[in-house]
Amino acid sequence: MKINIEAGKPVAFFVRIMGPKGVRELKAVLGTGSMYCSIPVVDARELGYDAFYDPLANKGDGALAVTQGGILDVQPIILQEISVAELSAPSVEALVHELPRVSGADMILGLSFLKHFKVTLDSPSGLLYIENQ
Amino acid sequence: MQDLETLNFNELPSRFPHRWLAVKVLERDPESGQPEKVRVVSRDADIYGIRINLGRDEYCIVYTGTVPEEKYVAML
Repeated sequence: MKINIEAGKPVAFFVRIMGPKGVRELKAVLGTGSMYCSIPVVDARELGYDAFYDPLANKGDGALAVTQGGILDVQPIILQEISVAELSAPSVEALVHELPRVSGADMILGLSFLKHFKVTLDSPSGLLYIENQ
Repeated sequence: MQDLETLNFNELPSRFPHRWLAVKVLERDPESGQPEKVRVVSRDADIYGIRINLGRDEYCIVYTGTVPEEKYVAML
């Protein structure tokens, strides 16, 4: 997978998320400093996961996520699959967490996905490569 | 609502400015896998409204508003 990027700006692109009850495609920001991926509560619920702090599905033990904004209670889940272009990774660890709306992205594509691939960020050429090893 | 017209992905911000859209992806760029041709399934001004209006069919969520770049620094 090869995609154009802009130097100095967040690297964001669309990825497909598969859960027990459906598939959704969301804009993800590349997060090489994030151990897990993240997806919004509403999408986690629609894909068939119990979403932490959701009064309609208040299940799960939760986990603590260390972020720039502090330590948050979040719901860890296992996404059935994340895919982009010809690449896919099964059973991807993720946290149910909302990104700020002004970020323009719905989710973080973290190391729980990226660990499956060779990732090359070529800023001078303005390209990101994600490849099977 | 459902717009049956097939659109280039890059047209979306000018056709539906400052909206959250749900689109069906009809064609993708073969190298990046990113949407190229789409059909708008639903649109809403609210980030949650767009999702509530739809079922569990596969669709892509797109925001056509601008992301502030002045006085904002991304630290995700």
